[in-house]
Amino acid sequence: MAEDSTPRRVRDLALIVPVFGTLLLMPPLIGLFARPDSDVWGIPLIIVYLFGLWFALIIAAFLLAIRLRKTSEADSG
Amino acid sequence: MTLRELALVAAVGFALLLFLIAFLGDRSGRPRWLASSVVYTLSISVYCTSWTFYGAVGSATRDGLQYLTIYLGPTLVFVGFWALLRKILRISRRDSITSIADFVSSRYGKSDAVAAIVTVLVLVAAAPYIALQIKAITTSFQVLGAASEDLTGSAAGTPDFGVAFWVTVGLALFTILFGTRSVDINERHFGVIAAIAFEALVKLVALVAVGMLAVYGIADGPGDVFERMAASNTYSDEEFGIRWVGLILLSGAAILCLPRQFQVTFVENENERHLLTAAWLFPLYLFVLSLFILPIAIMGQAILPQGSNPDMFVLTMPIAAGRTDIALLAFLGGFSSATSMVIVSCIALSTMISNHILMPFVLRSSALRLEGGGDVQRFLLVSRRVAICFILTCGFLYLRTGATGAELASIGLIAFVGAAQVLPALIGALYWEGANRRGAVLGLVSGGIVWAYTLFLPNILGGAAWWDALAAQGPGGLFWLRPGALFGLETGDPLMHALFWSLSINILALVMGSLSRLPTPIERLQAALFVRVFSDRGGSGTLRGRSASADQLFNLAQRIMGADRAFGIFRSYARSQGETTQFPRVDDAFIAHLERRLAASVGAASARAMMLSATGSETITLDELVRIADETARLMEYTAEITRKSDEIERAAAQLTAANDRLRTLDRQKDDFLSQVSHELRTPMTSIRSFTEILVETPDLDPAERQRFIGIINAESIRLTGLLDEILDMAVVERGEPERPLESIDPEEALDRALDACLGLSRTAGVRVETARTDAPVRVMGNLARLGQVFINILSNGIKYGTNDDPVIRVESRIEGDSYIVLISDNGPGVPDTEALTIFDKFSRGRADLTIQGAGLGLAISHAIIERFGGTLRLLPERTGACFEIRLALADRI
Repeated sequence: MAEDSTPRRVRDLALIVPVFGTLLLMPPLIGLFARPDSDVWGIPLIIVYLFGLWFALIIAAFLLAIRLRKTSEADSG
Repeated sequence: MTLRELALVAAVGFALLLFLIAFLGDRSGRPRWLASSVVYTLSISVYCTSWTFYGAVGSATRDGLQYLTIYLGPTLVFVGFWALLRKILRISRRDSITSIADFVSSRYGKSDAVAAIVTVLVLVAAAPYIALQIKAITTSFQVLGAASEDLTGSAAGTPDFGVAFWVTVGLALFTILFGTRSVDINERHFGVIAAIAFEALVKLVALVAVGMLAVYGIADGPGDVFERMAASNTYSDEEFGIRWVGLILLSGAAILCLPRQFQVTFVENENERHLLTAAWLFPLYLFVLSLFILPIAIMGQAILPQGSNPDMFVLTMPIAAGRTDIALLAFLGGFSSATSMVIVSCIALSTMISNHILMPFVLRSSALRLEGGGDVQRFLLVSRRVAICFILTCGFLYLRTGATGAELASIGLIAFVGAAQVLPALIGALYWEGANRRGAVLGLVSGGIVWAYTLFLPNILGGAAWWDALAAQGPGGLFWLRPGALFGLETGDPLMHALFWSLSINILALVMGSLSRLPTPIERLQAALFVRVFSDRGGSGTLRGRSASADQLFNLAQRIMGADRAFGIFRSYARSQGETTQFPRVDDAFIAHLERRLAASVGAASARAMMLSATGSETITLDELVRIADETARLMEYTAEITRKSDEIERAAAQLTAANDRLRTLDRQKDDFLSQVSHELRTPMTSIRSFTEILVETPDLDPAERQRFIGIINAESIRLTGLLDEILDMAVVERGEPERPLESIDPEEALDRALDACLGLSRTAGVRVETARTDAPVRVMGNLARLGQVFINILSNGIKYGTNDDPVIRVESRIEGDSYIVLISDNGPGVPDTEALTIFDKFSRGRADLTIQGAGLGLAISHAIIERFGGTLRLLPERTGACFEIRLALADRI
């Protein structure tokens, strides 16, 4: 994984995604979704939020991994 | 067959299956897919122990969504793999790191002390964690056994120590057979990893099966579950306070610092790119597990009797629903969770114990001398087996203290806080070059003590009267030192209290300790190699300047790795050096290479100590000096080269300038000469033309007058011819054409003739000629007429410049050794220094105006003639007047 050939913005994105994920999981932001008796299609809002955010992070990591793998394969042959 | 017997048979059968998988995985021809990124990711799932499998449901039932924190922390760490995991992985692979203790100690100057402290810390922290697994397996047996009459799972509250003992013994045997069959070259256990990955799949399948049963078998599909969920939705932002944040931080630390996680993520990694898959697949695994825990918790509460142990919902709920097959699968899932954790933890911890605690002792004692015969490999294996038994015994004893009466999750969290004490040292190792050994030791020790005092000891000693008194009053009556409220901080949450104080004090000690002294050279070197791993030029500090014989090194290596493997390493290295011998040349690179291979077996600190004793070199200070000296030398060489080059350029420039000057002078001389020659030719031509015009235009000219004019014309023509002859002569001599052959002549005769010829000239000029001639007969090789011409040229030159009041020309001739020498000197103005160098050049005007006679070619011609004769003509320096010396080699003496 020679980083020189990895596009800079992909690397920056790889660093910033977990930071955003952390912020969104921490108070005070998470408190916005933790409301008793509020739900989405019958599912408590906080559960939708937590698992939705979690899944979004997984998708982000997946896409980043694809990009980073492509560049790392390109430079290591 | 009762359910309990069935479970026992299933467990034994499952263990045999695991052995089979491990056996297949260890064979050299193992299938390719075993080295895949999916297997790697599944092996990381060893994070999910029976705490997750049983305890998470309990946690979800009791504390709501808080159970998610344990999986969100690792998710964030893996999603952010680019910053942290990738760096640790690169360093671990480069330096063949064997454990978290090895990693940290390697960074802090390959220090034995740091490694030992980390080992002790994580070992103590592992005891409750392993106790948790023993408890989970034991109670799952008990629950299955009692399932027919009691579905509350309350048997779990008091584990049957008889069962627990045999579970412990079984686990010990299992782990020894699995993990310590050989001292692996890279400490990788392919078979174990394959088995762990399989267990991870079983965990997932079992939990998903129980979850599906809850959703579709017990509830009426997801809608029903969500309805119940919404009905119990009392989640408020109170839940997402300090504890939420603290637990995410804690689980994020645990995924890095737990010895077994470090083992599977970094030590067992086969390909750095596998991390790219694990970055999203491992969070996905956690996501799925977490997702199915919710319906189990909800439906378990719904159908099981009030007061049931929620930690056992995964088992009791299928039984209550009449699905013993799924209950059995769940039992195997729990069994997988527990065994995989115990196996990997024991492998990691036993490696640490043997490498960092036992090995340093052995190295210090006389057991391992290079000449000695101790079989280190055998020692390592035995010590690891003993260590595994020791670790499991600790776990069992911890269980015996009864401290594990609490729910599974809280026991696990105690271990997490203990392991998290390594985090500051780890982060400092990766990002702060200033962190040094003293800081690491102080941080680890102080953090460990605070953790033990505020969390670990209260857990195992709670209930003992003396401890309860101490906890209430503070040690020795120091109220502000109460373990539950250190420095008066009352939180009501012992876990967060302990986490806050232990990490704060740990970090403070790390920073202050590191700042309190300068890092030693080896610390500085290792710091640079760790922090700047990606900008590194490749190898680690390979310049050591050490030496030892190949025999000695082989002797050392074979006792640690076994003769075959050591031999393989030596031979392949010899080949890479291009040697045909069995043993490689021992150079610094090889020693560094060998040290790294040894480090893969015994850890960096021990490997370094061994190599130091083998190579006999003292400290890294010396190595560092060599490295620095080497770089300095290279720099100096480079500078010298530049200086040399610029000198060369300067010299060339000076030569060019000189050549240019000379060319300019020659050019000027040529111009002067041409104008001079034109002038010279023009003067006689003008007079000839004017006199002929007079003769043509005045036919009646007086005959006497006419005769006079014709005489002038004649004289001018002769002068013109002489001039042209002179130029021709010059050209001939210059081209060096073979003019007349050289012959043996008498130079004195030529001198006589020249003196006679110049007699008239000297008389009219009033110049006295003094002579001092040799009497000896003399012969030289030359040409009489030409030599005479040379003498005449020089004599007439002297006469011309005889401007003295009493002009004298002195002519001397003599024989000196093999040379015939003629000196012709005058007492005229002499030759100015500026002219001395060019006086023999063609076109030189010599020392005065040339209107008198000649075009300044005389001396140049003379010079060329004498050179043709093989002699020299030169102007002697430092004389009044001019003094020319003609030197000719004598022909055969007469």
